[in-house]
Parts: sequence; structure tokens; C-alpha cells
Amino acid sequence: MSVPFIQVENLRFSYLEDDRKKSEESLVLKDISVQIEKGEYVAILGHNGSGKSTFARLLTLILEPTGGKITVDGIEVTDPQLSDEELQKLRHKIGMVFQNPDNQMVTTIVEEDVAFGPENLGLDPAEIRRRVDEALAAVRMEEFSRREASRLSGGQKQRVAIAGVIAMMPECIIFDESTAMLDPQGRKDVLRIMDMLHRERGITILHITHDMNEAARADRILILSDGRIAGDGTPEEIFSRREELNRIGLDVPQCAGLMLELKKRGYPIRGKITTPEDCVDSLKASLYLNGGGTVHG
Amino acid sequence: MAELSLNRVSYLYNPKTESEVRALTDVTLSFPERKITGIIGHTGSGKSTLVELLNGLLRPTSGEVTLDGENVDGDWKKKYEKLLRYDREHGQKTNRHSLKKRAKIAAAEMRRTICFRVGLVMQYPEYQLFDETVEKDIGFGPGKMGLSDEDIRERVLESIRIVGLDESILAKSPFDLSGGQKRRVAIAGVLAMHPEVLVLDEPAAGLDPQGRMDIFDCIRRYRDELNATVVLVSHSMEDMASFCDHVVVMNRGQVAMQGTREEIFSRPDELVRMNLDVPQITRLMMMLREAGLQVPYGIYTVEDAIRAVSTLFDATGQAGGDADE
Repeated sequence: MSVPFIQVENLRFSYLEDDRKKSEESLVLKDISVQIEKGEYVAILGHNGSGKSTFARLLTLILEPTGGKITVDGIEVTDPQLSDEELQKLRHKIGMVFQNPDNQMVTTIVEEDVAFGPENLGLDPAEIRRRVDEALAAVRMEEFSRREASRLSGGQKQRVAIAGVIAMMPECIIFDESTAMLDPQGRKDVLRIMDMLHRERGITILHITHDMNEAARADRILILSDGRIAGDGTPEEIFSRREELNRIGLDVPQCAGLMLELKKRGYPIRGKITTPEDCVDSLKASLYLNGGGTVHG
Repeated sequence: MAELSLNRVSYLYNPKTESEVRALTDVTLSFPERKITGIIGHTGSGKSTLVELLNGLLRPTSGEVTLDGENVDGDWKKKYEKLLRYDREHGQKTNRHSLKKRAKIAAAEMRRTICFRVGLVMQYPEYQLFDETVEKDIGFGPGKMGLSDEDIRERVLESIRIVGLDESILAKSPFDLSGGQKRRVAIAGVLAMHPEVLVLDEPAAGLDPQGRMDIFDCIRRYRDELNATVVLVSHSMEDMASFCDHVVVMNRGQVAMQGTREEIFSRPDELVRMNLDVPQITRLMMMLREAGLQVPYGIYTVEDAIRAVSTLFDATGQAGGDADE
């Protein structure tokens, strides 16, 4: 039997250092158990303060759990016996792209920034060169390799940050609201790159967002609320539970809202409702099937 | 009451140099009083330049931005010309010296007051919080206006209420607040100056759905309580559709479309051609039309869409439960 790529069991976390103060209220994550398989595309939704970013920082081993267990690729990262070297290896399996593109540049020139990670791995220069070129090509920023990072647009900076992560060749990339500060074009570019990394390279994608339309692109949605998993399912399943989403300050995409309301009013809605494309198919099916008096052409 | 208008405004960055960039070309606009006007457009369409012209941070290369007919950039020569013209038109004898003096005083007064009268909330305004306590931070603007301590306190309390925060927050450091709270404190700092025109650049960017609603609620509350005019720059068509009365679409430094939101969203094909997003529900309606279904134009809310699609079902004679027609 294969082990899941990431296995989280009864994970708890508090930002307080003092053990005595770690009461139930101080816990940012209260009890999280979830499995993520290799190659999955998972959106993690939740309002501000729901614990999304803390969860991401625990998975990338930036933070240490207060309680519970995290296993990556069969190795328990919370095991105190783990050597530094092994821990470092695990860290390289999961990369992270942050929200603010301005906070992620470490050097002035684009290609130096992308090379920063691989250089710290102690790779030989030819290999670093190969990885940097490949990573910049993957995000279509090869023409900008000698440019100054500070003069790029937000979306371009974010693509460079992603290239920096790709150059480390991780098996999983966590995007922590990486589209939130970008303009529509920058957003589209980053989302396309996420799809490509998932589809063509089989990289496991965890996308933290509060944009429902973006979450709809994933295969699976996890909802975090008040430090717990409040929902886990396909976008179809999650969006059909609208009242629950509303209760925790989230709402379904507009088109799903339309379809759910029509269903509630007794109209025969069949099929999927996640994206506008799904809705068109579903509505056509329902309307053509039943007379189709309003259909022309 | 304040009428903010742009009359044939053009703006060039670094004019007459090699790096000259034309940001705005011949823009004529006026912002309807007491309404919320949304400005939308691509990055590089001139939105931010436009915003910085509204309170005199930038001066137009040509043309004029006026508030109640007065030039906002405080250029005394323009005021002087206006006074001369007035005298000429009214057949009055002109004392050039005294007119110049009057023009200079008026222009200086405009320069001093314009940033109170046209309040600008920049992008990610929480990065500009700086003082020890929330109260001092919000009171900074009113203090610069020369108000008494008592009046400042009153303005601070009023602003914190309008942005929907509790008074207990006033004693805290702005840096101990959550992201959404910081944003609202930063907005309160501008509201406390009682601007007649409130200009906000992407006020809800990066916030969760509840945070966005909170921001829009406080903008509406300010508009209603102080009869202010609101100008809002956003990338989100869904925000434009649910929040703005009027919409201005900028494209390549020019006004491509302007009108009520009904007018703008009944022309979704043009928006798409400019490579702009339309609200998801509007896009769904366009796709249904392409699929041969008869849905009307101008749908930009889920409620309207429910009505339109219900009608389609009803026409096929299918049961519609409690449809609200």
C-alpha cells in the first residue's frame, strides 16, 4: 500500500511559546487531520484568521507543530530523531510562493534571484545554469533574465518568485494567496503556470486563496475555519453546501449561486455547476431536454 | 457638495525627454455628486495617474482638473487668467496688481486645503500607518487641518464608528491589528478630514470576502452621512457591478466608456474586446446567448440572472416552484 504524500494527524498549533499558556483559545490550529496524495491540485479556502497560512508554514516546516504529526513521503517530520540533513531534504520537497511579490526578491537581477536557492544546495555551476534557464522558460520570463527585479510588474515578480521555487525542483508547491495582490493579467499568468506545473510536471499544488473562482480550478477544496477542517471535497460538492459556506464568511461563485437558486425554486437543474462552461452545458441539457421552445438556431 | 471635473486633461511623464510616456490623452470627465463612480481599466491604462491628478499630487501637462470650478493644482496663473477674463466679460476696470495678489492667495488656499477636500486612500494604505496609537494615527490629518483637540477627538470617534470598529481599539498600536482592521484604520484617517470627494485606489484588494464587504459598507456609510462624492478604482468588475452607480472604463490613457453601470454592463462584448473581465454572471449570460438561448443584455447581478433563466424555463412549460415573477 502506498503512503500518502502528505499525511497530517491531529495537528495543533499555537504561536505562544510558553507551554502553560497554550490553552484551547490560543490554538490557531485545533485539530487537523488530512491526507494529500502526490499530484493532487488542492485549494485551501478560509477567511482571514482561519489558520490557512499557519497550516502552510507548518507543511513547509517553517513552524513546528505544538501537537500532532506531519508525515511527508513516509517520513515523520515531527520525529525528534530526524537528523538536520534529513529535515533539509524534506524541506526541499515542498516549496512556497508568498502573497506579496515585493517580499520575495533577494537579489537585484532576475536570474541571480532564481539561482539563489540552487546555489545554496551547493550544485555545480553548469547545473545551476541549466536549472535557472529551465525555470525562467517555464514561467516565460527568459527574456527578463538580466533585468532588474525591482523594475518588474507585480505579476512578473511573482513569476520570478515561482521560477525560484521551480529551480529547487520541489514535488509540491504551496501558493499562499500568491494571486491576491496582482492585477487580472498577473493573476491569469500565475494561475496558468499553476495549471501547467500540475498537469505537465505532476507537481502537487496547494493553493491557498479566498477567491472562489480560483478555488473552482482545483480538483479538491479544503475549507479551514477556526483552526479546523470544515469541508473537504470536490468543488461540486463544496459549492452545493452554500449555507455552510455563508456561515463562515465565504460564498460560492456567481454562476454556482445562480444554479443553486434555480434548483431551490424547483427548476430541473442537472449536471455540474462549478464553472460558467459547466453551467452552460447543464442549462442547455435541461432546456433542450424539455421542449426547448426558447431555443433557436 | 463638490463638483470634481477633468477638462481635456493630458498627462506626460518626463515630457520632452527620451523617456517621455503619455499616460493620459484628452480626458474629459466629471464625477456625479454624491454618487459612487468606479474607474476600471488595465494596468497601464492611466487609472493611477488619473487618481493622482484629482487632488493635485500631479499637475496636468495640459487641461485642467477643477473642484467647484476652481483649479485643484493651485496654479495662481490659471486663477489670475480666470479673474482677468471675469473682469473683461463684466466690463470692469482691472487692477492687475491686486488681481495677481488675489489669485496668489486663492491658489495658496487651494494648495493648503485640496488634500483635505479630496481625500485619497492609496493602495494598501495600511503600509502608511505610523503613529503609536490608532487614535493618534487617525487624528494626524485633522491635526494638520488646524482643528482643536476637542474637534480632533470628535472626528476620530466619528471615523472609527463609520469604519465599524470599536472605540476600544483607539488606544492600541496600529501594528497590533489584523490586516482588515489596519486597512479600516487607514481609511478612517482619511475620513476624519471630512473630504468632500473620497478617492480610493483598490480599497478592498487582498482582503477576504467578509473584509471586502466591511470596506464597501464603510464607504457607503461615509457617502450617506456626509453627502460625499466617491471615486473608486478597482480591477474587480464584480465589485463595480455590485457597488458603483457610475462606471468609467479607461483604455490606453483615454476614456473608452462611461455611464451608469446598467449602460456599461449592457455592452459586455466591448469590455471583453478591451480584454477586461466582466462579472462571471455576465460572462455566463454571453455564453448562453452564443449557445442560442434568448437571454437579455445588461445582466450583471445573480438576481437578474435568476429572473432571466427562470423565464426560459417557464417558456418551456417546466415547473418553476415559487419563481418570483
